[in-house]
Amino acid sequence: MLLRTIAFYIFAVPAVVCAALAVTRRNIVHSAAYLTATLVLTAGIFLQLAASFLFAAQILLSASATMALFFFVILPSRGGLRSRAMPSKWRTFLPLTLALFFAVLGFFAAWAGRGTLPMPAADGPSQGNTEAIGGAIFEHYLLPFEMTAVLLLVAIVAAVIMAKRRVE
Amino acid sequence: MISPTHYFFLSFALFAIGIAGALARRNAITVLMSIVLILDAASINLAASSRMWGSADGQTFAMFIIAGAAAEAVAGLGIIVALVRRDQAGSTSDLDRTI
Repeated sequence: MLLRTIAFYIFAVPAVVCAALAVTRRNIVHSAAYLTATLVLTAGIFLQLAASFLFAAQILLSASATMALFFFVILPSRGGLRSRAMPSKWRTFLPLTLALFFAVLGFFAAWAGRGTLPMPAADGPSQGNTEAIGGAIFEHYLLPFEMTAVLLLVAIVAAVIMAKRRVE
Repeated sequence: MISPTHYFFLSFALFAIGIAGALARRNAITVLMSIVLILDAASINLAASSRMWGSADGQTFAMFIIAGAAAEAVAGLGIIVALVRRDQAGSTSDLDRTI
């Protein structure tokens, strides 16, 4: 039990630190690298939650594909990503207040619900995890699954059109 | 003793960081990254709930969120590429003038 707690903090604390660094760094390449670290550490969290399929999907899709995409956009457009607008004071003050509000709200919500449902102590190898997800998709959530396929197709077509079109 | 509350706290921390970044930063790529962080926090929450209830439904929706995040990144980065090509600006403050 103590081992699991230690393992949780090994992944959770660096994840939060890397997320904060990803949001605050001025250098966009550093920012993307920190975000990749956060996503990989999140995959570790998924593994602790016995969600082995999510672990694989997170590594494959978020941590590698999305980050490769970010780097492909960052590297050709370096120097062009500069704001020409003047920063305003409320523009930084308001979001931080809002974020603090959400953090406090979530803290109290989780604190009020603590101990209501304990984490199952089943520790065996999570075989059948992918099988269970596949069953859930193709028995209960077939329509959302197909809509996701259409959504991805639309996103691909949109990206190709926006990247290729010449604007005069 | 690790409990679902631990995972919920982690999720809320990532969510708050993502909200702050998405609203406070003006670099459009950083805003997209913050949105990815928010979606990541949501999938942690769903995975923890899925484990708590002993059901695969939460993980299924977390998978949908990962697919949605990929689609969002593709479309958003397409917009940024078009924006940078058009007038060499990648800030959300310039969007009101360029569109």
